[in-house]
Amino acid sequence: MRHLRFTLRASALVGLTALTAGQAQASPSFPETVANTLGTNELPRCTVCHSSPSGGFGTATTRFAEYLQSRGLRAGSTDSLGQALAAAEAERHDSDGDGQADVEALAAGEDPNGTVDVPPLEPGCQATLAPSRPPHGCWVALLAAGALGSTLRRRVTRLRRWRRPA
Amino acid sequence: MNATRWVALATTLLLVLLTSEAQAYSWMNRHGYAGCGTCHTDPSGGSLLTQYGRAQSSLLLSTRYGTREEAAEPAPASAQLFGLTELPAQLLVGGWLRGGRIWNVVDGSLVDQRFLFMRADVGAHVTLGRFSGAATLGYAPASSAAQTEWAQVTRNEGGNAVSREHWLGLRPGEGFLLRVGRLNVPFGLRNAEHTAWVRAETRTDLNQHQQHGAALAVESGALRSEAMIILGNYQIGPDLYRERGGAGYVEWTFLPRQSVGLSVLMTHAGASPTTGRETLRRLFGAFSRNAIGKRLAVLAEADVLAVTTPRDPIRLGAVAFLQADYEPLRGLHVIMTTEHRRRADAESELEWAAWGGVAWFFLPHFDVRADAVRRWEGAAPSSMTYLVQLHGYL
Repeated sequence: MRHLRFTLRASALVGLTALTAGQAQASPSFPETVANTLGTNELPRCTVCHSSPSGGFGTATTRFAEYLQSRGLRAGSTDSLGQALAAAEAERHDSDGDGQADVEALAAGEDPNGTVDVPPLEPGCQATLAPSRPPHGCWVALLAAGALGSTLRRRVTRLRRWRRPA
Repeated sequence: MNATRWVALATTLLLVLLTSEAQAYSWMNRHGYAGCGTCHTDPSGGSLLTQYGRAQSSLLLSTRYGTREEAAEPAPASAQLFGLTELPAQLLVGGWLRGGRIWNVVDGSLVDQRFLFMRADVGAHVTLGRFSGAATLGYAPASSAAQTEWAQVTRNEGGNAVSREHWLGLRPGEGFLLRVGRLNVPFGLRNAEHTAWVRAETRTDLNQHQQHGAALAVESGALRSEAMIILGNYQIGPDLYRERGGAGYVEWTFLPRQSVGLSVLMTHAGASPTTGRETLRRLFGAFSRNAIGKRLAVLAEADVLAVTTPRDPIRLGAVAFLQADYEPLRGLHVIMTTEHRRRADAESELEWAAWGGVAWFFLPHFDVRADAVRRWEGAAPSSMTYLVQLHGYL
C-alpha cells in the first residue's frame, strides 16, 4: 500500500510537470526579420533554414542556414540575422549555385537552397493524395481501427463471461 | 578537424574495437534479454510492455528499497493500471507522460529555455488467438510541433492529436509476426534518444518517424530480424512527400548478451522535406549491443547515407553513435555518449557531439533523467544543451 501511495504521488508529480509545460519561448521571429530586412511582404517558409516545417532549435541545417551561421548568425539574435543577411547581399552568396543570389531569391519569394517550388509539407490527416481528390482516408483508417478495437473488446468480454465459472 | 575531435574519434574506435562482449536491445540486454518481443508488444522493441515486461521492469529496472534482490517479487504497482483493477489477459493498456525543461546555450549565451511537453499518450494492445492489434493516441502542444508533426492526426495551430503507432497483426507461426499499419521503422538501434543523429538523420526515431506499411518480424534462436515494406507516412501530405520503399535489419546474438546487426533502408519520395526535390535515400548500417559484466552496456551504431536527387547523382553522408551505460546501483544509470555526423544533404564537415547524463528509475514505471549535450555542428557555433525530464508510464 505504501508503494502504491508513493507511485500515485510520483504520477501526480509527472502530471504536474507535463501540465505546467508552457509554450515554447524560442527565438524571436526570424521570418519577420528576413521579410523586413529585404522589404518583402511574404514571410519565408521555415524550411528555408530548418529541416522541420515548424522550425525549432537545432534544426537549422539547410545550406543557406549554414552559410548564415558562418557569417555570424546566432540563435535568438535578430541583430545577428540582419548582419548575416547584409553579408549575404554584399557577397552575392548563392547557396544553390543557380546564378541567383540568396537575397534575390528570398526577395522573389523563392528558396535560396534551390528547393523546387512544391506545395509545403502539411502534417496531419487532412493531407490529401492530390488536390483534386477528397480528404484522404486517414480518418477512415482510424475509425476502422476503432471499430475493430471495439469488436475485439466485445469478443474479449464475451470470452471472459464464457470462461467465468457459473 | 582539431585535436579534440581526433581524440574523440580515436576513443570511439578504440571502445568499439576493445569491447569484447555484446548485448542486445539498448541496455536491457545486460540482463540477458537478446530479443524484444518477450517484454514488448513490438517485436523489435519499444511501445507497450507485456505483462511479463511490466514485471521485469519492476524487478530489473527500478531501484528497490530495503529488499533482497533474489527474493524480490514485482511491486504490486507494476501491474496494469497500478494493480487497481484486473484486466483480461488479452488486453494490455498503457500510457506515457514525459515532461521536462530544456536550456540551450550558444557561445555562452542562453538563447532558448522552455518547458517541454514531450509525450502524453495512451495505448492499448489486444490479442485474440493468432490475431492482435495495437494503437496509441496522444496529445502534442504547439511547443513540441517540431518533434511530433510527422505523427499528427489533426492539424491545428495549437495542440494536436498524435498517433505514433496503430497496427493489426497476425502470428502465422511461432517466432513470426506479420503487421500492417503505422509501425516503427526497423532500422538500427531502437534507442530512446530521438534527437541522436543516428535516429534524426535516418528518420527512424520512435517519436514521430513511424511509417505506414507492412512488416514481418522473425525471431529464431540467436537471430532476430524484421523487414518492412514502407508505403509512406499517411499522416503528412501532400503525397509527394511520402517515402516509399523498404527497410529491415537482422541481428545475431553470437554469445550471451553479445549481439551485432546490420540494417538497410531504401526509400523514394517525390519531394524531400528539406529540398523539395525528388529524392532516393539509401541507408546502410551496422550496430552492436554489448555488455561488459552486469553493470556496463555499450551500444554502437554506424550508418552510411547515400542520397540521390535529379540534381546530385549521389551525395554521401555518415552518422555514428557510441553509448556507454553504467549502472553502479540498480536503477541508477550514468550514460556517456559520443556522436559523429557528416550530412548528405549539405556541404558539411565532420560534426561531433558528446552527451553526459544520469537517469534514475526511482520507482517502477518512473524515471528522472538529466543530460548535458555539447554539439559542434558545421559552421554553427558550438552549442550546449541541458535537459531534465521526468517520465512516467503506466
